[in-house]
Amino acid sequence: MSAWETTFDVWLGAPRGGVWHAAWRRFRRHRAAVVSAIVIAVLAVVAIGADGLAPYDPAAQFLEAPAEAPLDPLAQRDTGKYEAPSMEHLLGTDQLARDIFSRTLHGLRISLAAALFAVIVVTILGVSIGAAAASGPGWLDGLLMRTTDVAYAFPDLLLVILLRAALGDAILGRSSILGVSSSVLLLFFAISITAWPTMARLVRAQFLVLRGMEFTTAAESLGASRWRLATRHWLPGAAAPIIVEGTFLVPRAIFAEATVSFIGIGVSAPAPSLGTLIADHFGFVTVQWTALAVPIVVLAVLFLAFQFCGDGLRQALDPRTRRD
Amino acid sequence: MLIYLARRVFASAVTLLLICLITFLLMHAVPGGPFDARSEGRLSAEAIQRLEAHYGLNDPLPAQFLGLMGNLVQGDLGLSFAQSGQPVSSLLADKFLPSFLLGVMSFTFVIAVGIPLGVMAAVRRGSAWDIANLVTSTILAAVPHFVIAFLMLLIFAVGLGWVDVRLGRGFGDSIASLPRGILPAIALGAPSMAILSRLTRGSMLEVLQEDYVRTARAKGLRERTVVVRHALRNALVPVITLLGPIFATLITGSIVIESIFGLPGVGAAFIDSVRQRDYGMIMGVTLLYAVAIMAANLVVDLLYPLVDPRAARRR
Repeated sequence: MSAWETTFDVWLGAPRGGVWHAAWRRFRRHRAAVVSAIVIAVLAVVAIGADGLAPYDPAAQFLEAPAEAPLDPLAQRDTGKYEAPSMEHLLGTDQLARDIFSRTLHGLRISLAAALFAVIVVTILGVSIGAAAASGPGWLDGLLMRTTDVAYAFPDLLLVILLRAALGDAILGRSSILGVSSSVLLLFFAISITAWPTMARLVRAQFLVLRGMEFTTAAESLGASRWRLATRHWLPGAAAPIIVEGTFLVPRAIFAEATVSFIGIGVSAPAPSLGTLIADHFGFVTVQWTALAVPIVVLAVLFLAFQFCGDGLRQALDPRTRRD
Repeated sequence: MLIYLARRVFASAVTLLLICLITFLLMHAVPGGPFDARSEGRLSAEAIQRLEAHYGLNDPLPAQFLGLMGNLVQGDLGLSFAQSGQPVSSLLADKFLPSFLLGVMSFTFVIAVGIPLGVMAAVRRGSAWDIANLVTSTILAAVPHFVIAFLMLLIFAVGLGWVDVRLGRGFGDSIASLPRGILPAIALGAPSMAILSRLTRGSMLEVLQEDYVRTARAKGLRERTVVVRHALRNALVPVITLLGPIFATLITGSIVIESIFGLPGVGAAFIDSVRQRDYGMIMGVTLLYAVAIMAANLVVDLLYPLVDPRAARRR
C-alpha cells in the first residue's frame, strides 16, 4: 500500500477499490463536472489538432485586388478585409483579411497551452514554497510567509504589467516553444508570479493539518526523516487541494492574459491568443460582430468548464465538503 | 486591540518597503530610460546624459533607492519625468478623485446588490428567482469585465444612444457629473457582485439550517426578523472575508475600465507611465494601490468583531 492510500485512508476510512476509484465514483455523480470534463477534452483535442482542423494558416492574408482599378486613388485598394462569414471563411475575415475561424482555433491552442504552462510554474513555485514553509524550521516559515504577504499585497495587474515590461522580448527573443511564441510564455510567466502565493498558502495549511495527525507521529516514531515525511506522507495528502487549485487556475490565467492584452501591453505576435483576438476584434465590432462574439464565447465556455470541473474535483477528492 | 493594530501597521510598513524595492528594481529593469522614451530622438545623447545625471539616474541603484525612500518617508514622491517635472503627488491627487469615486460607486453596487440578491435566492431556494439569479451570476462571472464594459458601451452609447460614448469626460468635476460613473461602476463591479451573491446564498443556506434559526422561528418571530437579524448576521462572516479580495479586484480592474470609458483616473495614468518609463509615477501608483489594498484588508479584519464578537476574543 502506497503512502497515498495511507494518507487517504485516514480521511475516508479505507473505501473499497482504492481512493481514486472512490473519487471517480463521486466525480461521476456531479453531472455538470462530467459535462465540463468532456467539453474540456473536446476543446483540448481541437487545440492540439488546430493545424489540421484550421482551414488556413492563422497569419495568411486573403487580400483580393478589386476587379477594376478605382479611379479615386484614395479609395480602398484591396478588398478581402472584414468579409462576411461564408463557406470559404466560416467566420469571415478580420481587419488584415485573415481567416477568423483559423485564428480562433489557434488562439484556443495558444491560450490553453500557455495556461497549462502557468499552472506548472505556479504548482512548482507554490508547492515547494508552501511545503518548505510548513516542514522547515520556524524562521524559514516566517520568512516565506512574509514573502507571500508581500506578493499578496502587490496589486497583481500592476505586477504583471511591470514584469512584462521589464522582461521584454530581450531574454528569449522571437523564438517559440512548441508553437507558442516566447512573448506569450513570458506573459503567462508574469501571471504565474502573481498567482503562486495562493497555492503556497494552501499547501502550507494542508501540510500543517497533516503534520498534526496521528499517522505523522507514528511515522516519526518509526524514524522517518522530515524529508521523508514531507515527500512521502504530506505531499500525497495535499495532492487533492493542489489539483483543485490548479484546475481553477487555468481560466484565471487565461482571463489575466486577456485583460493585459486588452490594455495593449500583452502579446503582439502573429499567432494570436484568445485575449489578443478579443482585443483586436473590438475595433470592428459594428462591422462584424461575430468576430468578437466567437472568441468571447470560447473564453466563457473555457471559464465555466474549468470552474465546474474544479468544483466536481473538489467534491470528489475531498468528501468533507458538502454539495450545495 | 491597540497592540494588535500597532503590530498590523508595522507589518504593513515592512510589506510596503519590500513592494517599493521590487517595483524599483523592476522599473529599472525595463529597457530604456525615461528621457529617451519621451524625446523621440529630439534630445542628443549628451543632453540625455546630462538630464539623467541631474536627476541622479546615473548613481548606483542602492544609492538611488535610499534617496527615494528618504524622500518617501517625508511624503515626497518625487517628480514625474513625463509630465515636464511636475510633482507626482499633485499629479496623482488630480487623478485620485475620479478613481476613488468610481471605486466607491462600484463597491456600493457590489454590496448593495450582491448581498440582497444572494439572501433572496437563499430564502426562495429553488424558485424561478433563484434559478434566474444563478444563470445571470454564472454568465457575469464567466466573462471578463472589460467585455461587459465594452458591451454596455456598445448597447447604451452606440445602439440606444442614451449616453455619450465619451462617458468618462469630466467625471468627478462636479456632483452633476456623478451619474456618468454609473455604467463604468456597474461594469467594474458586475463579476464581483455575481460572486458575492453566490457566496451570500451559500452561506445563508447553511445558516438557515442552524438550530438557533429554528429556535428563533419557534419563538414566533417574524420571518423577516429571523432572516435579517438572526441568519444574515452570521451568514455575513464568510462574505466579509471576500470583501478584501473584491476590493483588490475592483482596484486593479479599474485600470481597464478607466481606459475603456475614458475616465481620467489613476489606472489610465499607470498604463501611460509604464509606456513612458516614468519612474516616479510608476512608484506612486503602485504605492497608492498597495496602501489602498492593505488598508482595505485591515478594515475588513477590524469588521469581523462587529459581526462576530467571538472573533475579537480569538485574537
